[in-house]
Amino acid sequence: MPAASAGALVLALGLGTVAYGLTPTGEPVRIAYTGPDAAAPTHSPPTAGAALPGSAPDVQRTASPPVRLLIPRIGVDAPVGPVGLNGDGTVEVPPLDRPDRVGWYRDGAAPGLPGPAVLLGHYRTRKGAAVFLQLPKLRPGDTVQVRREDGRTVSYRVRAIRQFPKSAFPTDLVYGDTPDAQLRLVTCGGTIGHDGHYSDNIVVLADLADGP
Amino acid sequence: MSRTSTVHRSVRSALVCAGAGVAVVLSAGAAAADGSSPSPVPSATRSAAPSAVPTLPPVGPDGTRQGSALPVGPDGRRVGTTPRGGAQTGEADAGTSPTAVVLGSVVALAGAAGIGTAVVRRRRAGAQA
Repeated sequence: MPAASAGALVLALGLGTVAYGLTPTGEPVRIAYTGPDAAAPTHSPPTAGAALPGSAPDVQRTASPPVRLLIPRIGVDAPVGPVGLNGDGTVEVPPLDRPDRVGWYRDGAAPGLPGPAVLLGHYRTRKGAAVFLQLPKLRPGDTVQVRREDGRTVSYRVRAIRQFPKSAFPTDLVYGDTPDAQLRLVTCGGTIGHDGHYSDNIVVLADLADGP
Repeated sequence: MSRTSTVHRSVRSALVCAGAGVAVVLSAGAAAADGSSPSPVPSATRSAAPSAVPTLPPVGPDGTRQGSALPVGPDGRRVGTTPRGGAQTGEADAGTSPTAVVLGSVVALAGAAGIGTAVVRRRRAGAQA
């Protein structure tokens, strides 16, 4: 019965097209640089009460929240606001309807103080490109600046760019204590799953270049 | 029962079946497209006790807001809670393709109608034999 076979073929083709239409699409997001990390700063870790390298002694005891993030090489100049934890213990992110904003994990370190200051931004939302769309293109040596609420600016230098599956997120690497002031930039990468979310996180690790 | 009414009934039932199938597919697609759940973490796995309540950072003696609501150690480091897992810092922008869904539905409908027509013709041929 060739007519029925042809009909079944067309039906299968149609259902396949529908299934394709229901599948989220998008190119996989990968970091551009996969070479060796930049050398870590050679200065020794500060002791309690000692000044951070390149920083004024009075500001190391004054935690001031970040208010703006500037990454000249990828054209980022974005407002920063505090984020905390969701009820399930995961980190909050900026609202999806504000893809231009960057979130600072307020229970971590403040920029310029010992420990990792963690900034989170969306890679892409349903509204389109977000603030960290170009983040995977960063390379070791790039400069990142964080402007604090007290008007001072902390400069960091990118040491490494890494990509991890969310299922194997390196919590200690990102949030773990460090002897000196560091910066973490976190966004999404990898492929889009059926839940509409990306499979990976891209993490930029940066060291203090110039204190506030 | 006339042969014509049998044919009409067969065609009608084939079209109804095809239409129902496409409607189910479309409704599933609409549900998937509308699903804007911000987190893939199932609610069943959520902790009963949130580890932190969002609060504004306190204001220090110098009038500036401090960096964290959590305790600060002698060296200025915070003693706080570590987030669990990765961050949901992105979502599919295009999501699903309505054009492909509509086009596929039309093609599927045509295929179902073709099957129905073939079945009717076969029955008609059998009745004539």
